[in-house]
Amino acid sequence: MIIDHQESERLRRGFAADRHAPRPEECPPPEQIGRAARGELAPREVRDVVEHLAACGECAEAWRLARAFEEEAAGEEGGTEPATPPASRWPARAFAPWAAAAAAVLALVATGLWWSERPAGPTQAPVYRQGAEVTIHSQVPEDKPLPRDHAELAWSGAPEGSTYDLSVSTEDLRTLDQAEDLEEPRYTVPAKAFDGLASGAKVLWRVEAHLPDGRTVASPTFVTAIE
Amino acid sequence: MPRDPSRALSEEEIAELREQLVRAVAKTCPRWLAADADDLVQGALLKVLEIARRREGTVEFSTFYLRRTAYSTVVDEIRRRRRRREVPLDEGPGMDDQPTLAADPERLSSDSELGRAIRGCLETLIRPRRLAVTLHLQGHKIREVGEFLGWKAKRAENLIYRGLDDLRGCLDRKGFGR
Repeated sequence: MIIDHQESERLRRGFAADRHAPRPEECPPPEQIGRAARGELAPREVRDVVEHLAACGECAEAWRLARAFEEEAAGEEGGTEPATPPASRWPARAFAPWAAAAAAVLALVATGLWWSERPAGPTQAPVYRQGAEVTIHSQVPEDKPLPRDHAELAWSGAPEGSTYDLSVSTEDLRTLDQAEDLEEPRYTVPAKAFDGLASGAKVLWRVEAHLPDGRTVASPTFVTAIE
Repeated sequence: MPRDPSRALSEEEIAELREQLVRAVAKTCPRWLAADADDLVQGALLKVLEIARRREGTVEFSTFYLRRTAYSTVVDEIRRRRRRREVPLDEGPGMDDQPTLAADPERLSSDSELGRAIRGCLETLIRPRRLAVTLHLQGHKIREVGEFLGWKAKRAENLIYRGLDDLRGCLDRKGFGR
């Protein structure tokens, strides 16, 4: 997929032109925005700042100011490289070794276990399904249906620090709900997602865990009845 | 008796700090705020001197530190003025001043409207896509987005693409399509 740069420029210009702070009392202090923009905060903290920037034009401007300032300072100190995010201090999850990924993909194709129903994305990371080390288990009781107004799906098996993507669908694979980047191994499906489903209908749900070591582990498809 | 916050440093040291802050503020200050650069320098200097006083002059201020102090002082002032409506929200493009834009109020106004629509649409995106698209709109490359947010570049790329798709759809519905 290709980003339309002309369109991106138009959107960026618009995003930068709005300087409104809708909830100024929630604005992080400038020092925190500066530290986030310089890559001095952990990703989890940066996410909170970026979440605020999405809604606050004033703080987005402060972020751009910090970046511009930092890049200028980096240039002055002899470097030609602009300031970059903290790759060395807070590394993104490392890619799994190429050979292991290739082997895993081959194994998946060979055994027909490839997660083919997953909604098509532009690209997909290698998936180690049911790897030897990590297996995702459902924590939802199998013997009773989930209440619609509190349909909490829960799972276990991935190490602390993992994040999760979740997909919930009907038996005929119609997507009911999706969640990404969950930081806890649980998620409550909103009741409205079940609108139109008969009592006792079964829903399928799957979890993809992104482990702190960079691997991605997919769960089996779990089946749960809805009240 | 009012305290003298500068007493921990000599006159020469203070003059040197001021000089460095003048340079740092000049680099951070948006054009529309440039007329008040002296006040900003003074504000930043007071912050630095207060720290020197607390530490009884035993602290050395690196260029790095002074730049950060200048940055915080300027951002505080921008916030203060915007919140007091001393600067209209769509007045001047700020640190990324571009004279051609500043000279075209119609375009500025239309960009501001688009910006508000974008922010409304971002609220409707799921969080990972919202974060990825926000950093993309801030001008960051895919690799940087991944590094900031702790994701692999491929994941950041997917989220930017999907998020931009969502954003375009939402903007189309609001009448802000291309």
